Amino acid sequence: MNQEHGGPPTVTVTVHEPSSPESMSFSWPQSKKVGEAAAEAAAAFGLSAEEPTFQNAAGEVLDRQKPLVAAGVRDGDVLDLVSAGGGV
Amino acid sequence: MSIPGEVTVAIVDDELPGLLGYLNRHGWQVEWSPLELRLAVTGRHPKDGVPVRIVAALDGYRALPPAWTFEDPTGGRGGASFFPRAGSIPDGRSSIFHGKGVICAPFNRLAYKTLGGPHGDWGGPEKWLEVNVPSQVRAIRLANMFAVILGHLTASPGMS
Repeated sequence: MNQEHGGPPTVTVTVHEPSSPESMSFSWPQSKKVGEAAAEAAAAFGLSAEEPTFQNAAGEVLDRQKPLVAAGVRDGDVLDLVSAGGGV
Repeated sequence: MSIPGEVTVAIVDDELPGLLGYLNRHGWQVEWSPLELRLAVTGRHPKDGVPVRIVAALDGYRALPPAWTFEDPTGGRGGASFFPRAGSIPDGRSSIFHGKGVICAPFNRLAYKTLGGPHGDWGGPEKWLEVNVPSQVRAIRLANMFAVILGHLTASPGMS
């Protein structure tokens, strides 16, 4: 966890877009919702993905409605962008 | 619609670096057979540790989506007899692991009704890149498809 200059606690993570060998680093407030952070990351990768979310190293798809910290995201985590949708 | 095999090979070769990176991060291995146009990804079920082999038949890709199936690498079972049980994923969304032993996603050719699957509402498989239904998975590259499959596999309580 980081806390820069008395601001809200932040978390710094590495994000991969699975189809690309490249990755990007992001720092977000811990309280930011997973879905909002994933949408920002998708835009940074040039994607127009609807309802993106993150997948952690264990393969778990994170709940878009949860704050990052509540979804278990920690400093230094490596996350993948994935579609949050379900099947039928 | 058919496209030459060498076109599919070129497309898959272009997608492989991203797929390999993803699989390395998550501890899975891949075998790619350009002659057979088959991709096999092997690993273990995250919950019960059962060895799993997930195969994508790629003839016609990307004019058509892959045909994704589960195979038992230790016993040769396949289809509904060796398939993950559906688990809950966030936001109350449904699993892509259909009770009939089919990965129910627009990126799976076998999910389309014209090919024996349950879905008649997506048009034919040749329309797969245009299918974009709110709240349903969407993935149009192999690595993104496998990421979705692994996410739902991680939520699955085990193999059937």
